[in-house]
Amino acid sequence: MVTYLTQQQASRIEGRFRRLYGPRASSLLDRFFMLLGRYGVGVGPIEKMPLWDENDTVLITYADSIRQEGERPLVTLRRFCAEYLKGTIRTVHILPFYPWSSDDGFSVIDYRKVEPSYGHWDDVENLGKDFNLMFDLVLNHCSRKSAWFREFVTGVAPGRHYFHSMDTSLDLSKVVRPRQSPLLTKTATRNGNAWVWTTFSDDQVDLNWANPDVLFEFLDIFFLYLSKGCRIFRLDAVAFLWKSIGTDCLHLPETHEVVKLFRDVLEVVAPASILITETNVPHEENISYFGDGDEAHMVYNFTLPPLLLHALLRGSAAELTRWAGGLPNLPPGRTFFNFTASHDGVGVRPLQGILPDSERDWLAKEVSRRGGKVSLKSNSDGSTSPYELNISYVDALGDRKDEPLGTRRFLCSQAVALSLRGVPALYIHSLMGTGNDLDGLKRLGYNRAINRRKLDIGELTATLADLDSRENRIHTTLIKWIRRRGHHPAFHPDAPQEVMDLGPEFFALRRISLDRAETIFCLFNFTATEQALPFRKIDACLGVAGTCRDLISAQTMRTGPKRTLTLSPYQAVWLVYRSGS
Amino acid sequence: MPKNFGFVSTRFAGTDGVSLESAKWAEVLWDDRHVSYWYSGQSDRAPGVSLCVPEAHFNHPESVWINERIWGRTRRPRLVSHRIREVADYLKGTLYQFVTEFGIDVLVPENALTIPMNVPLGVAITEFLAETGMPAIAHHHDFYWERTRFSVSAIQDYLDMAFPPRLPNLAHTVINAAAQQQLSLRKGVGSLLVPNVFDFEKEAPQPDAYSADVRKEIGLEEDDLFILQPTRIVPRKGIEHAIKLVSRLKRDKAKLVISHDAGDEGYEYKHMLEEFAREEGVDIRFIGDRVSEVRQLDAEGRKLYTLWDLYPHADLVTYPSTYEGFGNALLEALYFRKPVVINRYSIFIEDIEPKGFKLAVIDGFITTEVVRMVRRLLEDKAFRAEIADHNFKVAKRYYSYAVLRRSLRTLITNLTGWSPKTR
Repeated sequence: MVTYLTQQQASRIEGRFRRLYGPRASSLLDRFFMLLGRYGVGVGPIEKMPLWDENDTVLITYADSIRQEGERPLVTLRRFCAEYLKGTIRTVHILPFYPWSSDDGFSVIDYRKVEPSYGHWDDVENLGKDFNLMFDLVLNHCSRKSAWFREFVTGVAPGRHYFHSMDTSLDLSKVVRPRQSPLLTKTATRNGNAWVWTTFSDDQVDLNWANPDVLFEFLDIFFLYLSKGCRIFRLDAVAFLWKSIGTDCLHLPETHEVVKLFRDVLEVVAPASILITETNVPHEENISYFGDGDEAHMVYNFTLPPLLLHALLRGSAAELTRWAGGLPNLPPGRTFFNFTASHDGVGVRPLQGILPDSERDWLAKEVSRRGGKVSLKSNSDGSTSPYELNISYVDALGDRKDEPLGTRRFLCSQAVALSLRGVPALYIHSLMGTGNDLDGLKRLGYNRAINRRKLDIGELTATLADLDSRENRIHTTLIKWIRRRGHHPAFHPDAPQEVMDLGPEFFALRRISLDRAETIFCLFNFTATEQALPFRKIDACLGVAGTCRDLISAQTMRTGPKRTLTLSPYQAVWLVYRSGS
Repeated sequence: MPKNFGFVSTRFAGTDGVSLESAKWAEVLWDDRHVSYWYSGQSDRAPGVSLCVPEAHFNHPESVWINERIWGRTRRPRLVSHRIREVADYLKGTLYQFVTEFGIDVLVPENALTIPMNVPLGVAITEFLAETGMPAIAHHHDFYWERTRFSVSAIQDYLDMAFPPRLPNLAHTVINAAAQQQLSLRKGVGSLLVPNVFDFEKEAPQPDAYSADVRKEIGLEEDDLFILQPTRIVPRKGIEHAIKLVSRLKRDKAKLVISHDAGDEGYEYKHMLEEFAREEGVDIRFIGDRVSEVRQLDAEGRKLYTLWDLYPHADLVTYPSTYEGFGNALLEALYFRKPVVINRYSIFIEDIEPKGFKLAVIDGFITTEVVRMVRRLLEDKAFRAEIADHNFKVAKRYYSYAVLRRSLRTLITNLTGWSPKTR
């Protein structure tokens, strides 16, 4: 049996070890070489396959978002997905399904096990037979209840060096973090009290990545997940990974170096797999994780959910158009993960520099008016400001007085996400048309619970089968659009995108297939009133006599110099031009 | 001449026999001015004298992965052979690093060439010793042939090679006579019997301010009869015999206290014990959540006690195991001068019983005679003291550090020609 590592790959990886761990690089390379082949990963010739195409769509779900009494939730999830989503959704992102102690899975106790109440590894692998899989790699921190932390407390190696034990006299005031809880948490250990670094909560203890044993723990986990069928790795909260006293401890060069290292490892053992970084920070910082084509393949498009929400509620796409027009023209192999909702709320920090604070605050008020919650952060001057909006995206764009109109507005938002360059991702509650879970919010007592409803499969399937229900309308429409999208290479994640400014009432863009054989004009009415637009204003080719077909409605329409496109409130169209001949 | 000894095992942490006995060996070697260093996959030894190589631990994920594919079957996939060799080669490199970094003169594989919990580690040590010719003393605690879970395997080739290997520079020590005979029979190598020991030259520590409140903290009243079962909750510990004994004692205030947790081999046994205790009307207490390897506070701020904090408070120690490799808990109880009820497991019969201890002995079931003996031990203070003194003296004669010191000196001299006098 052969493991492959070219001289070039080896020296690149050794260079990364040297930058991270200094003179230990050479022995770490030996250790890495030993790792190749573990769990059968990296053995034999590795096939290079395309990373993605226009059929790529991701479903974001918890392992137990859909339940049936007496059945393991992962079995239920597979059953549901196989029946409703096979052939439509290509990848299922199962949010952390490992044993956990808080934060709905993001405080991991054991990265190598499946939470027994969800199911077994076999269940995960079975889901992987019909879908690609996306797992979380929660790198920054682990649970206080983990075996690693127990080792830290009892002074047993290797875990005794896995965490940051801090001197409380150090000045850590520059450290940037999204929580108000204390940065350091006191812990009784065998050697007396220790103050450990806790960016997110006292139950989530930050790992010390300056220790190469921590890196190798995660490389092992990385290999394990590959062996279980994981294709997309979500690097959770990766921006906070490396700590250096005296800095803001955010996006440090070493953090980028770790991402590059994971990318190098993937290139060696699974070049068709994908890294995605999760950094809910201002846009420029977020896209820095593309690196120079040597870091993440995908980054979350964090600006999209709040900006899209703002534009649709304001009835003006002006800022969205300006922002989308300024998005970098990414080379092949790098793209955005276009989502509008996820298990977390809608973060508003990425709006920084794009929308004035007054508009952000207006958006927060609108969300509150629609039954949502606004999570606040403390500022250094003692004031507070919103950092996350907690609401179901369906209800955020809904209209209590005119439900069909609200549904159209929500669907318009999803059409935008499906049109933009990137891989679209739909949160399960967007795909199922689920509204706010006010009971869950009350029961669980934290804002994010409002969009983490657990669905009973019986009730869900009955609702989806009800032709009059909002859920049915949303679900069937989205499924139809996703399927249609998959037939058009202009929607390939690498296919170029040109944003057009047709006035604030419209959001519009042009997608052109990589072979330039197909162009799709994606137009959206962002207002609650009917809007008309001369075809010639959209593009010169539509200004000549001929026809075009709207992929969304499957209607054909005539184009020409005097012809006008009329869009009903929140209507979306994907127009493919056909010449007059 | 002082030498550097390199102890090698999958784990040096906690209160398992390997971790405890190796620490005693180091203590005795230290008295002869030798310095000990530690190589393992998990370690509570001081960072300055230890090298922790996570892949050497039997619980390392790769080790677990390999073990799942080599036991209970007779053929292994090609990938498994590949991984065993890859990991072994890496571990061998770390052994070279360990020896260089600490200037090791003698290697002491602690059970790592005995029980194949981490097969690549055994292969690595074997190759390292074959390549370097470094003098080594293998300390064998329990061989794979003593455990049914290792009886069917897909790695007989590796077992023949490395568990243990036959090398001219490798001396073997075992902890009981049966192991000595089997090693000779199976591998054709001689060995020295070095029993587990205790520092009987020092008196046992008495309760201090920290441990004075043990009874109260674990929920016992002053006049309760504190019967301590100082073991984990696994079937071979025979805890049902302790329950039966307490039941037959018919003492209202008797409390059977189990010091350690279940879980190593599942919870069914613990559930059975709870049920059995209920049927027998025995008050059984599980205090595993209050016992730790070191004194510390738990997450709720409660004091955690060591086993040594418990012993002085106990009125009786039960040790009804059906099998033990040696029986450290017995020595510990005798060290604390506590009356002991013991089951006659095979090693006890062959190695320990002939030394002349006076114990309440059961032979598979609780007899009226043993109940009578225990009652007398509990009620007759003078008798109890006489027995404790006798047992302490016997233990000191056969199981003290002096015994270990003699053995180690012999081994070192035989292997290297060094003797304490030449230092």
